[in-house]
Amino acid sequence: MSFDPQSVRPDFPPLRDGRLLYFDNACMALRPQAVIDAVTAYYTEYPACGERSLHRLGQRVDGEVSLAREAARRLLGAKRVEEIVFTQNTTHAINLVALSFPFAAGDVVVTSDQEHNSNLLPWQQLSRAGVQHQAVPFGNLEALRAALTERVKLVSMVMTSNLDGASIDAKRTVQVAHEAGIPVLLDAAQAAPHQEIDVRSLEVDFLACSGHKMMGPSGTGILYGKRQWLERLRPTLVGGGTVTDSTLQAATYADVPERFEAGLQNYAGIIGLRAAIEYLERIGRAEIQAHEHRLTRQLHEGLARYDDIRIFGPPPEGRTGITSFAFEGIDVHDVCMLLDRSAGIAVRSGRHCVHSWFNAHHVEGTVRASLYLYNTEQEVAAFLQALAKVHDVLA
Amino acid sequence: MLCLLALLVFATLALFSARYRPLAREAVACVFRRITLRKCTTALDQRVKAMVTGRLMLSHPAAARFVHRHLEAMAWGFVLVGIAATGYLGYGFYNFHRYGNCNGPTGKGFCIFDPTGTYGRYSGIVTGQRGEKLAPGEHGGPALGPENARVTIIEFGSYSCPYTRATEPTTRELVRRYGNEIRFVFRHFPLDAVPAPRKEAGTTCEESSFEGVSAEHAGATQAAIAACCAAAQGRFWEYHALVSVRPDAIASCAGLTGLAIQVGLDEASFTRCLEDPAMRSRVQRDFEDGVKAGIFGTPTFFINGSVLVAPSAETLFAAVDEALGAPRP
Repeated sequence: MSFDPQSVRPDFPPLRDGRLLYFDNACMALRPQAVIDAVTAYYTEYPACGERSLHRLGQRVDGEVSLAREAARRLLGAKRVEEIVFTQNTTHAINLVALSFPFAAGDVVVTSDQEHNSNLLPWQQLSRAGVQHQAVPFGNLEALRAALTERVKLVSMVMTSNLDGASIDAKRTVQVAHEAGIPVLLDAAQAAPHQEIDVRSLEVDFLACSGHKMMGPSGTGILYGKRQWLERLRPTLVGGGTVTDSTLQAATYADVPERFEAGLQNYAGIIGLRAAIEYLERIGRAEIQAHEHRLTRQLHEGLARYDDIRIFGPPPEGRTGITSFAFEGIDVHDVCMLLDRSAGIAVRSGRHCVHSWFNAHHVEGTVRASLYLYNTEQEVAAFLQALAKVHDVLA
Repeated sequence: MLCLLALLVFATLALFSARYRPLAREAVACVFRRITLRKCTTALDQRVKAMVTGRLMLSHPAAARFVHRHLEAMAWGFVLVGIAATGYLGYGFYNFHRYGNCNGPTGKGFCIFDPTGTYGRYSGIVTGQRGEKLAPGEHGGPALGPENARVTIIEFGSYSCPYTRATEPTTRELVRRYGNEIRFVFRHFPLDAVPAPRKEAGTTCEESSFEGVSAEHAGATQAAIAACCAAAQGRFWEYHALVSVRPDAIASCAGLTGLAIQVGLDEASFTRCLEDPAMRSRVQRDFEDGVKAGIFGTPTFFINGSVLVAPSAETLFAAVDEALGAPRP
């Protein structure tokens, strides 16, 4: 029996009155009550420091953070909890690698040509240290293979594009890079919330994802790194919590992952993230993925009736719940705002932080509808109906 | 233009809440770009348009389509109307400062600036007068001061009009202050005769009001005739002062007669006089002169021909000073 989204909708407060039709999940997912309760419990019951205080509240924080790290390990299929670093989000995780990786002048980092700014700008910034950035066509393994010269020291690829929901063959990408002896970082911000991920099976070296896209609190993220790679990174954001001892001249850094978690952490967020991961585990990401595919097919069938539409990316079978489209001669922001104003439908419009791709392809922007586990067939039908009215007004 | 409208709205809202300040800043940036002939990059105009169109879509899809396509032109219209309205507002303020009311000396229209809540009650009087306005003369109206005074002030008033009544102490002070330098004349403009009479009024006191009288001004003609009758016995100004503070009395002939007795008039003569067609004709002539002069509100003062409608005491005195050509210290 397939997953029934109606069974989870009551868990999400913004959906309870039935007036919101939320299709902006690629940006931010809604949170179930369990996550809200977990965050609230921290603030109301044990709002203390972790890893420092020996009183009962502090000990409880330590225990909850440990459970959260274990949950994150399970989520990604990591071997050890030491391979899980809590970050603020995917952007923070990628920047952490970019700033800590032992690059030297003349080294090259390879990405795809369809990267979110968060997996582009950190590498562009490294040009100040003489590190170069090179882009290869999205999902093109042969182009990737050809680009992997001796100077390439890291491949950093988006696993699933937030632009159109298209995914690369992550396993083959890692294999190709490893054949050249090059480590791989995967941006799994749009993948981890929607599909099973096993970093050991993928053999990926680094993987970054965000909590807020998988129903966790804002300001939470995960960086997975193979232990041997994490140990090779140079901590760049340092301070409280990252050392075991210090003098006026030097410091002894803590083991991984603590050396990368500087300062007081977002304990409420981390604890809420555990609740989100456990919620995902109860439903099962394979179930969610299948559900999103069903809805995406329905959405594409509805969109296909327009003569003046351009749907970006692969057919429904080859994408996650993200669908990007634009009508000829109609401003995408107008579509977005009218859907919101006339029918209470939340979608995203614009360039979705993938400006480089839009500039290269001379496209102004798209309307992006992104689905998740709590969206229903009825909502997709209502979306298509509202879109028809908006199209009539704007066309 | 949408940005300009948005700027006006958000700048006002931003005075009260920080929530609107980013929007106001966006509007400023947008307006600046448009003034410098560049495209607005904040998308604020788009959001405003979507807000309007989105609401319309719910009930009037065709109107939403029209508005979405033509909102910029409509915004231009709104801005031009706004500029015109601002101009008229400024003109109204000028009139208020200069003449004591915002309609101007002889203009028609309605007063939107009414700080004391009184002027509005005298607005919108339509006499039906068309064509050239004729400055009124004394025509035998009750007068104070020498005939050869340097300044002649003719007041048209109605005893049903609270502001005419409220002006009575001011006119008394006017006469006291300027003495023989001025001549003050009172003429009747009973507001129960507005709009212009459509049939002959009755001949008895009780029938003397014209047809179509609003309840607010009922009895104005009776009171004017009564004042004429007081004048016939040489007691106009006493009666005028008393009726100005007893508006309740003008509702009935008995009330008017009671006031006559109070000022020492002969009751029998007064009662007969109330039904004298000559008195009615006198009031009628005053009214018609007022109509010919283009009066649209009471009290209206003609100061050597210059017009003031419902002026404040200060404005009235200043106008007299000006007419005398020698401002007083």
